[in-house]
Amino acid sequence: MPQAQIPALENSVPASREKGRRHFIWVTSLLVFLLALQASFNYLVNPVATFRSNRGLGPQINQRRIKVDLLRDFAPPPEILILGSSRVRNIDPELVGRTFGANAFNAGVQNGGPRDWFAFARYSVRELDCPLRLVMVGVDPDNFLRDTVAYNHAVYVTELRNQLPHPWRDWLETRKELVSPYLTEKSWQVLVNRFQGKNAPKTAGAKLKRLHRDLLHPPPPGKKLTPRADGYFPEDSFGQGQKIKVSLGKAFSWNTPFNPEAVEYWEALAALAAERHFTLIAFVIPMSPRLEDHLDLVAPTYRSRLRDARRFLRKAGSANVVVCEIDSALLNFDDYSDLYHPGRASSESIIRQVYDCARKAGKI
Amino acid sequence: MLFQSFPFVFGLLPLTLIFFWLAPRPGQKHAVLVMASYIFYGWWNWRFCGLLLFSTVLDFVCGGLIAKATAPRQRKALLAVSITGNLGVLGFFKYWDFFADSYNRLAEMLGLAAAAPLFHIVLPVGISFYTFQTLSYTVDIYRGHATPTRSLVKFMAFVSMFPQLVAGPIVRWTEVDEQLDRLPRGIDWRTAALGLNLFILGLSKKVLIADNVFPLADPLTYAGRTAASFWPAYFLWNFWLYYDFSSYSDMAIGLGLLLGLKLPINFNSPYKSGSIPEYWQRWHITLGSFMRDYVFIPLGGSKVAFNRVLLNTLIIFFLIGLWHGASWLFVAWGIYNGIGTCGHLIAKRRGIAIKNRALARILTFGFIINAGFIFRSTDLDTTLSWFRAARGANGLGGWPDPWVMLVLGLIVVHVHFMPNAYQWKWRFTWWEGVVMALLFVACVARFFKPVEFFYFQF
Repeated sequence: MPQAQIPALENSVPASREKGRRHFIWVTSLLVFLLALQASFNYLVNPVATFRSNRGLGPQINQRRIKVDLLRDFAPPPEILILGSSRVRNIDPELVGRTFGANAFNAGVQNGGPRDWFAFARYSVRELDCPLRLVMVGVDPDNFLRDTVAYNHAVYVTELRNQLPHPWRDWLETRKELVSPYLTEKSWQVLVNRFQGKNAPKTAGAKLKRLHRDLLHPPPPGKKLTPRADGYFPEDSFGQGQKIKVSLGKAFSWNTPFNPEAVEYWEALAALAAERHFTLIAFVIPMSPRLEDHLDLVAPTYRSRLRDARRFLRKAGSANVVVCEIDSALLNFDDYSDLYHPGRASSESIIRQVYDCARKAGKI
Repeated sequence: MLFQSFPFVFGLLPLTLIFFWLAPRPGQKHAVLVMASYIFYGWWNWRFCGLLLFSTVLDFVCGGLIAKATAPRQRKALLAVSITGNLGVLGFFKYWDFFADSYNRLAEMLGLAAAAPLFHIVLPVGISFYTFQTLSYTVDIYRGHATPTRSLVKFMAFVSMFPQLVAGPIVRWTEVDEQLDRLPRGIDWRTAALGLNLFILGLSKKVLIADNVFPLADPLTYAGRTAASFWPAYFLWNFWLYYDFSSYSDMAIGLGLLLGLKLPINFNSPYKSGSIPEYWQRWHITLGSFMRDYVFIPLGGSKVAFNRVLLNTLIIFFLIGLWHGASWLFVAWGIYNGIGTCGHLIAKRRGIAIKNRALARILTFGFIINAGFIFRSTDLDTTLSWFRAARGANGLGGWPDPWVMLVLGLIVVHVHFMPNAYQWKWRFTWWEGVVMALLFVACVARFFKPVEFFYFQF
């Protein structure tokens, strides 16, 4: 039987030490250069508007960035903060202000969750010294579940990230994204669309010139990027489909347990309310009954998870926390553009119900 | 911490290398290595660091005392303390639940009421590897093959050395004792350049090949497959195992070279073997040689009667099986390999061993591949369901997926006919550098979905 010869490592490389040195430096420099190139490309294109390089050449906007800027410039500083996801976008701060007798700011953001609520509230009181009296949180039934709270765009906004418990770790996470295949693919898509798009200039030279301008300078803000100074985005800023999407069954089939991180953020927010003496009012925003009936068929876990969320909010309540039940009979579901996001009329009803609830609880 | 992760590649590794290269004296380099290794290990669970420290201190003390002791009985007693301590820890963490469960089942069958408690212990990563390392230290000192060190930090560096801490190769004290004393001042560019290349190649084997092959070969899908789709997937799984495990060793050796340490080679194109004993000289080489030197030779080696040699061989493979995991299937897998080895020894003795190298390689490969039915299975029912699928119980099926066949074909060419990473003659040309850098960048893209190494569970 032939004995297996074990290769000698020292024979597999050139004898020259200098060659080794040059190879080592060449490989490390090249790989650093390639990674830096990829990161710079993604940073400049900024396809999902997560970095400060520009407002993003892609179709997405970074609402957190915009709302932080607006909140900082809002004068006088708000006494009422409205928090939540895109489902609170029609809660008009002006109406809230008139109803509650104090100026309000809508800091609801797309896919907003406990991390965003905590970060916005803490940023308001710690950094901007807002004399907060009330924080209204429109809760989605999936806000505390494991899967859905993973949406971490708050960490891309320095002001918000600095409010979170591990800003350095979060900062590293954002830098990591710069070399992700996901972002690189998005950047390419955006760039190709930009280069070949309908409104692009005809000649290649002009296209490159525009691309150069877009990359290095923020594009002029479009209509969709102009919310009101109090954070209120007009309803028609978002195009929403009228039909129930086929994927809703999957989107609302929540089987995951509660996310301890989300629970911690909620508890931290309640603690902040106690520390800074403001009232935290939480309410679950109802969906259109038509959508709920549909979900009974395609997402059987939806109702039980909704009950779980309500139960959790009630259980997690403290002296400074008020949990309000929104009576869906008083809402107008015809104005739910997509059966999920309340329109203006329903939002007005929600504001009134929250007011009554807060008054009953003796908080105003 | 995984090698294929951002914290390691962009954090711990560069920082360790910088401090390690800047440290002027070996003692300082040892300290850097120990710190980096404990961070690396503690990243999984910092509590496990205590266990690592316990093993280290136990053998450091025992080794020193064995060297000083003059009375044979005293030396033996100290060795017994070391062996009992090490195997006791390993036995408790790795085998307690297994043996307790087996005992309980037996007691139930015999109608006895005795029930051993099950602790559902979490297995500390790499415990099987570092326990053997520390054990080799005291045994070698006892035998007079090694001299103990007076530096605890140096010994800690040996035991906890992060490149090979969690999945080998199993390094012996005698292999690194002098190297640790003679660590070069500054950077040894020749070995560093080779180390960088090997690390990137190992990384590529793991994240570009193994992690992409696995979904095509996942054993969870075997039971319902037709024969035509079962066999390609099954072959791919075996190759995946090779890529997954050997990639770790390649990276470990590459990292060792970056630190100026030459670690033993653990894989040498195992599927090119012409017999089962040769296979075990090429696959997980350091485990095979450990068992040979610390169990087989003390049992008499090849110098005893032939029947005894066969028995010793079976004992060795029983232990190799048990080392792999606390399950009777692993034991059965070990015995299967032992029977293959004994069969070869008998054939060789009778002069009927296959002379034709190509035929011997095909037969050996077939034997090894079949071991996967036991090695990867979770229980006997699963193994039987795979056998049924393999022989077409779910139908023969049509043509296999062309994509799977293409991947399989490329892999067969690679593992059977191409030189391995250690046989490659590097010339350090500019294009080699470009290939390495591009491979690295491609690997980084896969860091976002890291997959643990299969051998971490051992």
